Amino acid sequence: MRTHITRSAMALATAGALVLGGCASSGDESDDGTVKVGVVLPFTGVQATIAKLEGQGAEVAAKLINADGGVDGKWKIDLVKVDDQLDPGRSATVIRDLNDKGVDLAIGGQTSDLCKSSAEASQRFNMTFIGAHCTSPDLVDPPITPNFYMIGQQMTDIATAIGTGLAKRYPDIETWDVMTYDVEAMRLSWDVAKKAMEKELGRPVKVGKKYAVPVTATTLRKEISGLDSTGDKSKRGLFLGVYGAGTTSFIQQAKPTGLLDDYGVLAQTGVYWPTATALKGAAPAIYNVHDYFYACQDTAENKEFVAAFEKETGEKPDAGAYQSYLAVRLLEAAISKAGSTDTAKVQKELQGISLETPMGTTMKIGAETHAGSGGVTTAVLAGDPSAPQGVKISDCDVVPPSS
Amino acid sequence: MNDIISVLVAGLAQGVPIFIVASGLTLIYGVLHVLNFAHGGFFLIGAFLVTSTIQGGSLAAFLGSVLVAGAGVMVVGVVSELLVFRQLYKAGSTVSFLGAFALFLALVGLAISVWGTNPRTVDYPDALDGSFSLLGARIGQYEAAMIVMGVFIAIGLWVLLTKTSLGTRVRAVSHDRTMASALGIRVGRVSTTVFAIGAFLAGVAGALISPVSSIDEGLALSTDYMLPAFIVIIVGGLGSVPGALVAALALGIIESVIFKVAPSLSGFSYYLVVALFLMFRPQGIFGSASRSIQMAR
Amino acid sequence: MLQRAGVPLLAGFALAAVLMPLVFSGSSLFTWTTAAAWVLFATATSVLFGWTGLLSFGQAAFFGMGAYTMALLNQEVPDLPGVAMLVVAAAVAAVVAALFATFALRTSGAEFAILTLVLAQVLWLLIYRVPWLKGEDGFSGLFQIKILGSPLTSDLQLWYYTIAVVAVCVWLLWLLSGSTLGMAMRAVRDDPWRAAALGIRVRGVQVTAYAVSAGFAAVAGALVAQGQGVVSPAMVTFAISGEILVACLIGGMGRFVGPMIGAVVLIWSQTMLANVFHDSNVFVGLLLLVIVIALPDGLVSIPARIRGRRRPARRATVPSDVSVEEPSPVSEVVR
Repeated sequence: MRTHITRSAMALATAGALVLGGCASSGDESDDGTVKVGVVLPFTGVQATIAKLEGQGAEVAAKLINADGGVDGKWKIDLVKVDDQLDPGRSATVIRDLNDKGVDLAIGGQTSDLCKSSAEASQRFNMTFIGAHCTSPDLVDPPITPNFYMIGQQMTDIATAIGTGLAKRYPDIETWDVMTYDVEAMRLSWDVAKKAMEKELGRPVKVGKKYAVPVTATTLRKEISGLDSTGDKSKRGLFLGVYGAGTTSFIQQAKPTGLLDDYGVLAQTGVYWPTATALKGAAPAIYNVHDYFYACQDTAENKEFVAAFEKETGEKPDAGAYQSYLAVRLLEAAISKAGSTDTAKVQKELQGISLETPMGTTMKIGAETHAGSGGVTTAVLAGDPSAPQGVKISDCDVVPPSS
Repeated sequence: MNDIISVLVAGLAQGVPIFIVASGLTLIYGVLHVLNFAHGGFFLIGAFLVTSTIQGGSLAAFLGSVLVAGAGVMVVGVVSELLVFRQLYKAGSTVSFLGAFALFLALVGLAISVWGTNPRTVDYPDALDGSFSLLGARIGQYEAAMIVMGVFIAIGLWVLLTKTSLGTRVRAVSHDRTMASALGIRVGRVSTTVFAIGAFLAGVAGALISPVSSIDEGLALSTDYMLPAFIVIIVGGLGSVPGALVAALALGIIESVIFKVAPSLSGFSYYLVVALFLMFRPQGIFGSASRSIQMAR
Repeated sequence: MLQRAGVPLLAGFALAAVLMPLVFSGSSLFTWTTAAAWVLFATATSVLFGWTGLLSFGQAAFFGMGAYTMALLNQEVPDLPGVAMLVVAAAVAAVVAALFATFALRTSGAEFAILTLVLAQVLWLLIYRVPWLKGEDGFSGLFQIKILGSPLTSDLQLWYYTIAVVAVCVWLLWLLSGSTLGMAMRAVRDDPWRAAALGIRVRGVQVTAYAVSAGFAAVAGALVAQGQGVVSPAMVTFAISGEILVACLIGGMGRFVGPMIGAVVLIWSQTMLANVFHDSNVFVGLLLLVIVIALPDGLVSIPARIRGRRRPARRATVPSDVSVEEPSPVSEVVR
């Protein structure tokens, strides 16, 4: 065995020669007239569908900007999409790919761990990175790295908005049953929402059944039979801190019990839109909160965005598409203000910058916190076969950022 | 009283689907001595096949689709047995296990390239989308139907293994391959048949859970079905169908009770139970200390 | 004697350490850094799988445990030198592994593999359940860990540091492989009964192998975490446990370097396939199938095959089964 060690070690070293082809040229400065913007999203894997819409949001922003003559009339935007496969290790690699391709400005980051690893990797090259979709307060104030900015609305704002909205619109609900994923952000979302409700109502809120389920759970029978056992539900609300497969499985498994119709109101802090559209008109009505719902924003810019997005994709933009759109717009504003595409100058301008959003609110990036506060939207999403994509959006409230 | 009933029912509703998944797994192990890791791939394909083949909401359409899924997965299983496992039986069960693992990766990858990564859903059949009350506990009709289905499968397997000539041959091969072969039993054919039945059961299991779950690649190694199924066949004693049944129901009920009395342990209880159990009886409930595989005892 | 002391091995690593930065830069060099950590991970896994014949489906548990220990140390005692953190990470993983193995080795073969899978699953659940493990948020800032007094500021420094640690660890494993304990491991793999008859404490050897494997896997995990700067539950998933087995099998475990080559091939093919195909799972699965069926000794056996000089079948590379059909000699002999 050992006589082969030398040869094998050599083989290991020369294996490198086989992969020389993968070696890209580096240090390629962006030409005058274009600015490269990296888009780092999980284009493959379980979140591929969501990531595709997000990528298209960025594309629409770039198209609209380029049609107007480019950023500040000087630079056309050239998007460079890379796939982080929802894996932090992978994102560390693709950020380096972007650097090899001469990209200095990037957006993306589907979840907080991906935002973290993208921020850490891009810091090596002082690449500007805007976390468009992550929401953890842990990432900002102070920012995890100086080159990182976050525009996803944080869970505290989201939960406060839904708590206040629920108290205003459904003041008769006496008791809340709660089911959240067993993760910090989701458990927190209920605590914050409850506090906001109590503040609005001026009375304590009663909590009935309270469950925390593992993030991988798709069998929720025990929780459902627990919720089912509480009797009359006309004055009860159900608060869901789940998303994705958890929402789908819950709705599927609860359907035969009639539970979903019995509750006075269903509310959810996790993302509901993809589940609601997937249920093709059969989605139960849920009071939901997110940065953006396309039908709630009555501004000229939003109409232009929705029309352009529909033309591009045949679908309505979801909150993720909106966030990507906003991230590109934010880079546009910072580049214009800096009069340069230089990453250090852009970062300097991003601190404290204000941007009029299609929501009709103003997003301000904290100079110290690096967090963009731009307001959130609450609305009821309900299955309706005649509505676009089978989901009707009603009872909108746009909650501007608290200053 | 209502509490006890609802806990029991929830436990059964949890345990029966896991038994259905585990039955094919333990059957294949009993005869072929292969822990078929690819079972999760079969299970996933079964669920996906329903999403593609179901036509309309009638019960007949759903059952038809379940059978098609079972048959489709059976074909995949037979091809796998002939192309992969047949080559590996002689190499010992660890190598077969690795072959099964490779097959698992390939099947899941294949399923994703056919059906995509976007989660899919299937509606309940029209006749089974409600619920009824039993002694004050509300039970979903579909859950009840699933329990009935589990009983059918358990009885069917028992009859197959103890009352038919195939069953006799299967038990002979399970007990001693060489001796069975010497007695003129066509071991290869029996192996393929058993593999086909096991794969069929995996496909049916996947199809049956399709209305109650989000259907995506996560199912292939789901903490709600596949991992418990592996645990159940170990606790039940590898290769023992009755062992799998008892273990699945017992663990379902234990999980349900723990959920009631100590909700914070929920999700872990399977693992805790299996850890404790194996400390005292590593060969499983129905496994004998000598590990000779006795099926349908 | 140079062979025995692992001099060619160290020379190979030194050569690689110097040559790689001359040929590669940017993203490619970073991929080599990741591959280096996986080389250690694969060799550590091979201690268990190739040398001792124990199949583990939960290596991600220890890989992740190393990363999480590192992250927690960085948070609590940021001034601790990085190398000391690696040692602590290895020790934590080895102790947990030894405790687990003491119980889990009451079973054997495929059952043991499933139990290791369960262990990884429980750890993964704990990350979400225990608040100070930070759930899906994970940890960041691992770039700040001090190596020789200051953080690693460039990918080039990261490469030198990673390859140096990997070289030392792999060299230690090389020495272990040639030691009495290494011989005992192989004896246990080939025939536990005979090993017991020869006076080898079978269970003790297996538990030791499991702990050694876990300790070095933890170092690999900590290195990867340091390279990507973050630690998250993605490091404890089944995908990781599966991939490392794939790496071992691709390379082949008949030779010490087999798993190392497998790890490099795996990491590079994933990186390159990601740019070409969208889902590389099918290819990894099919490749592995071909290897298990047609090339059970892995890529390292190709030269011998080409020469047509099949080496004597001393033993199957993939460990032959210990005891699924037969009564477990382990539990009966050792007690």
